[in-house]
Amino acid sequence: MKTFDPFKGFDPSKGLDAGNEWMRYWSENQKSLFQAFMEGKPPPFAVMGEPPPAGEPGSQAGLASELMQRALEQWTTLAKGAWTKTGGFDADAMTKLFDPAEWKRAGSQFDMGLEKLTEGPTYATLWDMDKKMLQAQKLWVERARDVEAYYGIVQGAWNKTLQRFLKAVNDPKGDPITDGRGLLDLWLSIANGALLEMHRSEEFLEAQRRMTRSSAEYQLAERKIAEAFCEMHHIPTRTEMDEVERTVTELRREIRALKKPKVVKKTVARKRK
Amino acid sequence: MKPRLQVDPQKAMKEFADFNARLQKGGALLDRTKGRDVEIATTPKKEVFRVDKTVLYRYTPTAKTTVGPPVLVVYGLIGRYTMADLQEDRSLVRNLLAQGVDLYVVDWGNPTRSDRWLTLEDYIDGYLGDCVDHILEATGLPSLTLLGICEGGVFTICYAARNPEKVKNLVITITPVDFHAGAKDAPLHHGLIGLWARSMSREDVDRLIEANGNLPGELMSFVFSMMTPVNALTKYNLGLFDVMDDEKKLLNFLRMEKWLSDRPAHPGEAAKQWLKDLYQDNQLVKGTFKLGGEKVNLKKITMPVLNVFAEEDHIIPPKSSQALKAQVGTRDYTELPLPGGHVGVFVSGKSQGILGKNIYGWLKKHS
Repeated sequence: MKTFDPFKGFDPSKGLDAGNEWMRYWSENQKSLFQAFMEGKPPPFAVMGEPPPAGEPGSQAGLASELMQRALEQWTTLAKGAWTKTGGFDADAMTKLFDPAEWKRAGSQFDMGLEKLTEGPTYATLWDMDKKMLQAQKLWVERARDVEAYYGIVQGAWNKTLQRFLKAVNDPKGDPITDGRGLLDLWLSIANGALLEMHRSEEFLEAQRRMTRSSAEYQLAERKIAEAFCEMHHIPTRTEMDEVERTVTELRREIRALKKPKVVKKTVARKRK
Repeated sequence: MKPRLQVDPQKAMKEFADFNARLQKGGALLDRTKGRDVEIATTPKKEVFRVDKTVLYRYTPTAKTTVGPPVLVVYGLIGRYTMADLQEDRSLVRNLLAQGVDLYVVDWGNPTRSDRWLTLEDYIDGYLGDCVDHILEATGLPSLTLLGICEGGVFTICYAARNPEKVKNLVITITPVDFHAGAKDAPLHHGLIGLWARSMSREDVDRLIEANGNLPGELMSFVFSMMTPVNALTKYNLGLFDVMDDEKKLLNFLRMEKWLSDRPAHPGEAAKQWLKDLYQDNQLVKGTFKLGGEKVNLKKITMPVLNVFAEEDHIIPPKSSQALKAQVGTRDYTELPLPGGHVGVFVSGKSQGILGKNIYGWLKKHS
């Protein structure tokens, strides 16, 4: 395992040696990764060697070290994504990678994987997508919790219905119930009252409000994910469409406002006749 | 003491046999029923004007015109105008036509996400204004009669207040004016829509619209169903069963369901105004409601007004509609309370004739 001196890399007096140390570390990790691909295994990220230790916070070396660390994390995420998205980098695929004859072929699945490994901006997109998905997951849990609370209150009204129904059926002072429909109508009448009471209760209204709100928040988080996908694939997003539609609506208003005086004049002219 | 439950086994058996017989008869009737049998809004009409998704129709006259000026029927964005013409024997439209009223109706179409930025100004000053101008231009008349229904009633009130010179008479039906009235001491199922709207914060409304673009018609259907919960739960089993062996009742049931299920989305920005400015803040009756940056001054409603409301209206409590009386700037104000509920006033067998006859009588007087 390599030992690493991060300060060495940023001492101007050390010249190119510093960069070389980083380069060696990077190359070894690349080798390890591609070796894993050749063997058809997921990349052994956990055994990729000792990462460069962090420098003093705020120091030049510290900042560079953090930057490198972040780059590696993004690289790891990216490589994992590429692995699963392309269905695995097997030995044949890797052979093609190093076959110059294959380099001319554009648009292949392999190229797409390679692009994902080499294109910097995609790192950020993927990382951002992870955050969006986590947020959506969190909101989904909140929505599920609110839906459960809502149905808990609704269930309470049905429990109340049953209690009242049993009491009513056993009330000797009540009118006799002589057929099935009479029994059913009694049940429905009691249920209607209990459900209406529940619908008016602050507890229900608040539960419904929370459920509606958390559903809206989840929908919006889902939209963010869909929009990230749209952006990656050069498809207009919902937000962009909304903006276009807003512009169209405003333009229509302007056109109507411009046309309006003509209509008024015509109406006035008719009146004079 | 005798127990309350005294079901006789023999009677129960007979009940079960009757149930099966009705089920069989009803099943056969349902099998014979086709889509064309449950068509609604079949009164002939012609498209005379169109702007964006809004279409203005003129109903084909069925009698010589006896009253003037023309009447423009304006429904809201929650639901559709077809309620006023449900079927041949339950149709305000046919009733008025038969008595010689020149009748128009505005259809807002099917708003989609692309209509989310449309505001109440767009509908009232814009589309409704365009329809009014078209009729006035086509007839050469200076003014017409507006007949608003529910949210459409609010549209006509606002339009009349902003353009009194173009409105000869104003008829509003089942229309909310004081959005907070009738909440206290009301029956349990009254005014729930207001409670629902006010249970949300302004931000809740904004996020709901942001997520959906519009106020989904399905959501409004759900809110309406909360007012009659057991009916909503049992109408496709018990409710249908109760009418399924009677062809007339069955077809009426199916037509009503067709109308109820045809609930378009309410354009987003207009829905925000409807829920926040009106249902939450009650701005119309407070005199603070603004359209196009100007306050809607109800005192400018100087034309004769007929206010029709339903005594058992669980959606718009009568007091909410009656609040208009104190707000308008005319003394020629008439209230017409009718028995029945919000929709029943238009579609129940009991109200047929009463509504059309009374509106016609009032129009004749103000012709």
